[in-house]
Amino acid sequence: MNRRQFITTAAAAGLGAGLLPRPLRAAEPIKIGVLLPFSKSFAVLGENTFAGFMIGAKEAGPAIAGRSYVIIKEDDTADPSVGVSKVRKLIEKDEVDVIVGTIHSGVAAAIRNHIVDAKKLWLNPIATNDLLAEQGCSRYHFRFSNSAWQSAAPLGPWAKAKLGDRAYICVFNFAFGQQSAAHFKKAFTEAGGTVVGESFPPFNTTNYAPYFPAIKDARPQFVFANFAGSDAVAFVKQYADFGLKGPIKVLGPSNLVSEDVLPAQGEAALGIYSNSYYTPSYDIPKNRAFVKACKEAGKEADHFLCAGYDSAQALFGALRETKGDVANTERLIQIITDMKIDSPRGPLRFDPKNHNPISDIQLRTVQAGPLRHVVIDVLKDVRHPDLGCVL
Amino acid sequence: MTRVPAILIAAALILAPLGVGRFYSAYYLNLLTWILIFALFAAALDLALGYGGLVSFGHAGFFGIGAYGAALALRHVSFSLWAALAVGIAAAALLGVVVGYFAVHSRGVYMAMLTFAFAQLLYEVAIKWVAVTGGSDGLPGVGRPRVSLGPLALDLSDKRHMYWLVLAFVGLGFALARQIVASPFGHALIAVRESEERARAIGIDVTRHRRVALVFSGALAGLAGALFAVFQNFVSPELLFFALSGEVVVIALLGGLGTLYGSLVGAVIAIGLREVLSTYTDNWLVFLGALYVVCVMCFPQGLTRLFARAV
Amino acid sequence: MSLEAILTQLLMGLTVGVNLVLVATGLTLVFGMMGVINFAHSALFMLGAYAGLVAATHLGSFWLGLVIAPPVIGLLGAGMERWLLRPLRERYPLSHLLPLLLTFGLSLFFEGSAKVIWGADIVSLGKPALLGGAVSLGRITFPTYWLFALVAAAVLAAAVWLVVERTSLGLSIRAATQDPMMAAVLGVNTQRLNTIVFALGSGLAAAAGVILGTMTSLSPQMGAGIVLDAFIAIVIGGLGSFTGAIVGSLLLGQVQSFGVALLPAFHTPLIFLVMAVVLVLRPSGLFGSTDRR
Repeated sequence: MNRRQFITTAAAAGLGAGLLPRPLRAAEPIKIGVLLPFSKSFAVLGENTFAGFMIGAKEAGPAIAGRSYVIIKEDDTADPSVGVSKVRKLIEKDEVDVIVGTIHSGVAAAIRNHIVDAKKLWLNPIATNDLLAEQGCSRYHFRFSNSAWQSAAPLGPWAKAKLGDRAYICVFNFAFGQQSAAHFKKAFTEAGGTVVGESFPPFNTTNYAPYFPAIKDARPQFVFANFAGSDAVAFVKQYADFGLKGPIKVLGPSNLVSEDVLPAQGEAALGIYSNSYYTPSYDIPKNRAFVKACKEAGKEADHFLCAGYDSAQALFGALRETKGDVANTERLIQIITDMKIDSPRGPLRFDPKNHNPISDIQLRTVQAGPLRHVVIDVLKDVRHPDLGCVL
Repeated sequence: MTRVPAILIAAALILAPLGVGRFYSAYYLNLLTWILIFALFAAALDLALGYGGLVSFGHAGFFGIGAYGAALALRHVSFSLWAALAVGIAAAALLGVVVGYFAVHSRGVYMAMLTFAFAQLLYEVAIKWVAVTGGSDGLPGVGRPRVSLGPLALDLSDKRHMYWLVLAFVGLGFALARQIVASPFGHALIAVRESEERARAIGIDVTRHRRVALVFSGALAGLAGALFAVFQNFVSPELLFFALSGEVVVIALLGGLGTLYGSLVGAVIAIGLREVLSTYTDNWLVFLGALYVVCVMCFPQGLTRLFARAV
Repeated sequence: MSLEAILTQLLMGLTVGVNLVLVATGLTLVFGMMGVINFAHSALFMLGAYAGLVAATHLGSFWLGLVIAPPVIGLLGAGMERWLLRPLRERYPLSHLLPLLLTFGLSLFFEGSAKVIWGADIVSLGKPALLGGAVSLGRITFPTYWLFALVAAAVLAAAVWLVVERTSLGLSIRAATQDPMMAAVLGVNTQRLNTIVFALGSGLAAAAGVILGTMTSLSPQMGAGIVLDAFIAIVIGGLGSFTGAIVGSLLLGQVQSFGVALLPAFHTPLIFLVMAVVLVLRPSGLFGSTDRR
């Protein structure tokens, strides 16, 4: 089934469901609501996550235990207000049984209450907010990527040991950037390192030249950098252009050099250290098959596809166990909490305390021939710490 | 607007929640609530722009500060709707005083850029002052206080009650705006818009009229923002961003400047169409842009005037 | 700050300013002459970059891309002006907001179309081999390509200035800017002039897109940030004043650069503050004339 058929089926199903009186709805297909950004600056990430999900759906087949399902996708445009409106549409108009989404942390924070109040299962492929593993956690929520804490704090001791004890922090001035900087700084200084300077370029900066003199003068051994999308490309390219890359190494979370920006960065990204839960070159059988499946779907494997794929694995796996019964949300939650997912990243399981993944963090560096990440170290079983989550 | 269509539309708006569950889902009610709030927001802008000739590209500043004001009031002052609305409106009015003080001497684009600058400054503050504003993730979970008006008790987590509350305040806002426009002050304002020199010649204090108009406009936009905060149950810096200022200018233009009620039409088109389009295609931006171009080329006076001529 | 640090930061600020000059020249030409706030400028900037990419990819040369993109986008701009903007402004000569809504709608349309045609992926326009290296300026490694951007900005600005100040076309443009009615009475074809100016502005936007896109990356939303900064720059400098646009851009570049160095926690709101202060003290900008239409 292609996307258009899904959408048409979904629209018809949604409309039909809205118009039919109650009793006739018993034998309906399972309705899966997908909320992701499909336009504006996060479009590629949303498309990739959705593509990963669809690979998982294809593997699961068109029906679970004889019951068909329909995928209704909505575009949150990475804007919290739009996200809230769309999630309400999915819940109230389309009456979806489960929500899969999203990417932007602001949207995730905004939709949390609406999903939890409606008591729907919520599979979150990407949104990194620490909030969702701390005070904002919920039984209904499962995250399939690392939290901001997991993508920054564990690097502190590692960087001290492998890169040096003088760090400069340069991150984009948005929640994810600020949070990752704070986590890294704390962990790094606790491990004995010194942060010799910090700067916070605003989102959408195209010229990073004004920030480079300060970095050079502080004489760090490496820079902890966090940028996304076009900003990541501009920063990495210009950092190399101005000759900083040789003397001062770069370390960052995966989005700094993820596969959506790596081709545009090209050689400028060589030698940059990053961490992720997923690396396409990680050589395990499940991953080899996954990379192949991505290529067949016209995509290059990346962590967005992996997260989308794993959400599908979790959802369809759980539905198989309940024989297609989607009404008993508590049962689905129980199944997923205990699930051990065979993911392209390796084995995936959730921390029962906060429904965040217990993650093996892969440390990689960018190498050439062809341009890709190569895993050089793995920090095993990293959990998001207990910081106020009450499920 | 003539009597009969006005009464019919008002009746439809009041009775809308009753069809939920029977004829349509609550989603449409939510959409209508959103549209109403933005209609008020655009009408507030129309007051300044359409009637006063004051070009503001920073109206999101008033809206956003009203929203944050309401959210913070609910958190730190008192968990009451009246406190939330009062603080939101007051904050926006205060901003109107400040912006008015600096901006009313500028003309056209310069005033637009100055108002834009003020709104962007607020946006930067919202992003940076994480402790208070929650930074770029905003403040989720603003809260839905209980509302009691004598014997009437509203539970705002009930979508119909929320809708009626919003409808009541939006109606109040529109009525107020209409009063202002029809009053001697309003007439003087229009005179100032038409020709500043002539207005001054007949003794109208141009600066004062402009400043007051901006305060009224800002306060109404703040009311819309405060309502939005409670309705959406969160606030975030996007509510202060210039993209929102641009969006509300478009809504006011689509409906027709200087018509007040045009804002309702503009909001239905801009918001309703975007919602529908984005459900059916990821490339809704292409269609929306094309639509705006068509609208401005074919109905430059705004769609309400088109209807007015037909009706 | 040591002298060396000041000079370094000055140079960095110059790069920011120069990038803004590239974008601002086209913007100010259109606003100065036609009084139109061209919201589509960022879309034309973006389309120029993509046009350059397509040309460079198919013809194998960055330079060809740089040379082909501006006329192509200039033609697009001319079409926009001739068939959309002109009829609108002829019907409503006094309205500033209607052209705004038109150009805004067009920018959405172009952005959406770019996504349809080229996808939402971030792509890169490669530097020409000639400009690949770097030069040593004291302790600073300065990329050769950025030197080129500096030179290109200066050349473009000078070229536009020459055309406006020293040619008969420029004379007609200036006359029509000061008093369109009079110019028309004196036989200047103001309609054709408008189209030419808009085409020129669009071509300049495209050139800026190719040059700056190579330093950063290409995506459908690439224009938004820098075009906004360019607007602020020309407002500070005074709309309609070409000198103002250059001065405003360079000033803004230094404000950003020294803001980063001296007020790291506070530098982002700085440009808005500067603009607000300038506008309050000189309501028409630094070099703007007070009788703006």
